[in-house]
Amino acid sequence: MYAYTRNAPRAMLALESYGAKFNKTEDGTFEQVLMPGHTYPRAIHYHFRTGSQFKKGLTAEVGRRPNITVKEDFFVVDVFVDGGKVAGALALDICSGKFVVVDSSAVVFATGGAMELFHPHCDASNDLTGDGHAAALRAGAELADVEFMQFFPTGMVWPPALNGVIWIGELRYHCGGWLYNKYGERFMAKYDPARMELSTRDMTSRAIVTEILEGRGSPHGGVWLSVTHLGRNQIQAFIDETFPNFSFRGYNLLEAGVDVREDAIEIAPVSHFYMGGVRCDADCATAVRGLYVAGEVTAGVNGANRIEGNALSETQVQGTIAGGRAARYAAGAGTAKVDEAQARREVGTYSAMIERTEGPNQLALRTEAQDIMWRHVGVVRNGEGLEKAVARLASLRGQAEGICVRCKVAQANRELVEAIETRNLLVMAESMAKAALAREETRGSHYRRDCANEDDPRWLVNSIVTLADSEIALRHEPVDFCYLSPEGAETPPADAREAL
Amino acid sequence: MNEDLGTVKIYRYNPAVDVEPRFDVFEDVPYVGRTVMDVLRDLYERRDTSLAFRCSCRAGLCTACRMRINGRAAMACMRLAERDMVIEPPSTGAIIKDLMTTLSGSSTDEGTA
Repeated sequence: MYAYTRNAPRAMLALESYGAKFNKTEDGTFEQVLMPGHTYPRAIHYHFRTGSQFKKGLTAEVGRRPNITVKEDFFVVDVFVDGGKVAGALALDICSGKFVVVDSSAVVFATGGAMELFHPHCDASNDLTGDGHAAALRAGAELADVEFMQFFPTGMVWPPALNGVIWIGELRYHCGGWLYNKYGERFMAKYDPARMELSTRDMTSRAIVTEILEGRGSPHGGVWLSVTHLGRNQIQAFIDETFPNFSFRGYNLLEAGVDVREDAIEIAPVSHFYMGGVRCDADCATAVRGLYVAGEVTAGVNGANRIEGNALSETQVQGTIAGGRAARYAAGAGTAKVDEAQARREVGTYSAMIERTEGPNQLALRTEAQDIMWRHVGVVRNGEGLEKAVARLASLRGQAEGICVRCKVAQANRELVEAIETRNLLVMAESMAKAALAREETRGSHYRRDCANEDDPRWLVNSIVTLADSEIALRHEPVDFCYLSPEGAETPPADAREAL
Repeated sequence: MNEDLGTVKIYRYNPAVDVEPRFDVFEDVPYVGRTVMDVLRDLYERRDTSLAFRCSCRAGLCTACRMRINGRAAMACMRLAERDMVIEPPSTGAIIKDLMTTLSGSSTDEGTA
């Protein structure tokens, strides 16, 4: 966190020099805005669509550096480790279907979160299946705080064309929308009678999911959000200002068959950001020498819950640190060579998925796991449900070792890619369920209905996950408050470095 | 005829195996309230797991799912499905398989294990 806050401004200036644009004030300084949870207007942005500028700047800069080779459709599935040090990586070249061994003494994972654990209750890319997390774990790295997944309260669940669209939540917060269960009750009265629908994101998510899981949801597994208690012209005025022509970010509500002037819409929380991840130090180094991590795949910076604006800048700070440290390490580590027998064994694990003539279907395993995650390991958790989830997810993870890919075509085999992802997703599912079961308190995004209070004396700890002999092991370590304690006393680190 | 089901013609071609491209026709395909990507995923999951197409962000940002839908270039994740559709790969890039074409910077020249 110290490295992040210390280096974020410089990382943003570097990004700007690559060609990313940011909104500026008249005197040429960055426009800084206040975002939810901030005490000071510190967020910089580009018309609140900042991510696309990151993509633009970075893509342009990569193009300007001839020493960078970009390999598309190249799915790194495992890291080879020899004597505690990285020796290389194994990748599936998706287009040809061939497994490729890359000799390398350093590897950096910037593989994102694991939001697909909750599909279809998810607003992220469909390839965020925890592949980097699971590969790092298999290589001997540790995961930390894996029980913490952030949900956004209002993702559309119907029609499918609008599934996961979250900006519709504006109707709740800024237009005065009401939430109803299937009996037409404004259920927020039971959860937050003072604030009702203007409650916090976390409280709203918990209320919605409680209604759904207790059988009071809408037909497609959400609850109803409606603004029809307002005048039609009043709604129209809001639409004209916020979603002109009923459109936003390319989606058109009317074309998709939704008229919010007359209809209620079905919404439910969606997984949005993963706070847990691979454990690393301020140099982005993991427990495996030569393996570095950056961005959402890491744990630590965002603790038990993330506040708005930190995800994008985290990628730039950690990407720079991890890349620099990995390059320096590689220069000193000398040439690495993957052991051929080890490579053959690893490739065999994956090629067996295609060679088998029978075995579980990856999609069936994945869908069942996602359903369990949503019901028992999602927004609202309790000990009984989590115990069931851990047992069933462990069984599914075992079955995944025998997955049979029906499609036998080598080239661009989506089913094989998804089978590998599903195997990783099941590692993350069981890890998350185990850590959530153990943490008998409520903290950050982790809500235990049966232990609803934060319990500092007992649970001011990080959950650490390791993999030994195919078993997912969990232990806890006290949080290391080296720079900033919960009481607020700041101790600048003795070895405070300028990382960038 | 059921009002809620459509017909989808999809370009199929695996240059490593096939002599020439063909179109596969899928009948009785649910399409109402779905994007073209929803339809492709549905066909992949229920009817033919060998169907190749790109899909990533599902929100019109990454542009990976660019393809031609009834002759017009569009992102499959943003375009609403129609009752009758012809789906072809984008006109840029070389065909890898079916609806999947090469992206810039892509190469497949590494040694294999």
